[in-house]
Amino acid sequence: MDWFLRSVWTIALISLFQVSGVYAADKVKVGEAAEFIPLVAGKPYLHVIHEGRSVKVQRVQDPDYELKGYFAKTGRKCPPFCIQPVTPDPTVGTIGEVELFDFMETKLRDGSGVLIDARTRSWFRKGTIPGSVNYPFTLFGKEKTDPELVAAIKSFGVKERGEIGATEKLLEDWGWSDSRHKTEDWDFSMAKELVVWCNGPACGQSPRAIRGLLDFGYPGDKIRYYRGGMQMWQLWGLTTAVPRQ
Amino acid sequence: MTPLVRRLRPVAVVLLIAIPLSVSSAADDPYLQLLDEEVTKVEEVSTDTVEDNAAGSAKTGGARRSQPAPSRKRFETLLRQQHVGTYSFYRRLPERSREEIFVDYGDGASMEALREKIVDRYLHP
Repeated sequence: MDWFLRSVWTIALISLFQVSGVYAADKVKVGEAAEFIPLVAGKPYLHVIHEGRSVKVQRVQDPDYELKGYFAKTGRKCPPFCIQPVTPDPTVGTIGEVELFDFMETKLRDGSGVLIDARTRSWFRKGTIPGSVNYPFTLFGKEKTDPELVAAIKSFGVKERGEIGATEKLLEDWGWSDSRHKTEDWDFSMAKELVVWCNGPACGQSPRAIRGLLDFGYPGDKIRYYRGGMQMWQLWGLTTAVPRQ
Repeated sequence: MTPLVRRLRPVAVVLLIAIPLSVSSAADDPYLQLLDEEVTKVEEVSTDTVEDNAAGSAKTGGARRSQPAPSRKRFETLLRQQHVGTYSFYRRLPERSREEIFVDYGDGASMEALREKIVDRYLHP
């Protein structure tokens, strides 16, 4: 009888462990939302303001989804659509998608950053990365006094210096006053951080825009190059937005 | 030839030379021309389709968008009236999280799921 009771208890305990094990396995599956493809681990999606409305940026959830169309192509006429170096200038940092997500949630959101789609208008109209504003690269190649270019630069938080006093000039020349982000005509101290992008690693539009900005005097440490551009953005199945107008 | 026409002739000559030059400088930039040709190969994907694809529900997403947009104020009032404890957590969340929760609400998430998310965001900022 004693033996019988012990066996019953053992079986009961084993069953209990098995049941709790199954429950735990189910719980993990539910908790991890196994099928969901997040932006990065722990970040399922994010929101950006695009043309005055909140757009949810996330990845295509179909695991069988394959990129088709123009951005799925591996080859293009070169020149001009040649593979670009990792950065258009040594002073400019290059970022990937994770850094771009972070930028969207911080500087873009609080207004201290601008996400620039540097492609020509016709490309922009086909679809853009949410949160981007279109400043075609041709704008940054214009004369430094061009009103359109000056207006764009001012909208990035850059201030015109006007007349510089002799003392101020002297202090700057001697290095006693911080002139790191200043040129003779412009003060870039409060300039916004720019993330500039175009069609991808084989696109020369954003590198040209960046070189134009640098020529204008925009500090390289306030510019980031998202080299992956639209091609990588679409390859990861990330949300795109078509401008309303 | 009248004196006026004679006086305007040099101006006309200058204009005739200048106009084609200015037009050609834009149109003849080979890079821009190639870009214009290349863009015709790109298919336009409408915002709604892309967003719905991303959400994995093309049709339901489109239908949802046709409904009137929910008001955030109304959502917050509802939360305050029905779940005052959760609302006190919600109030302390950063704007980014509050906006995210409201968008989930707009997407049709249940109040239970939203409450769980609010507490989760509060405990794991």
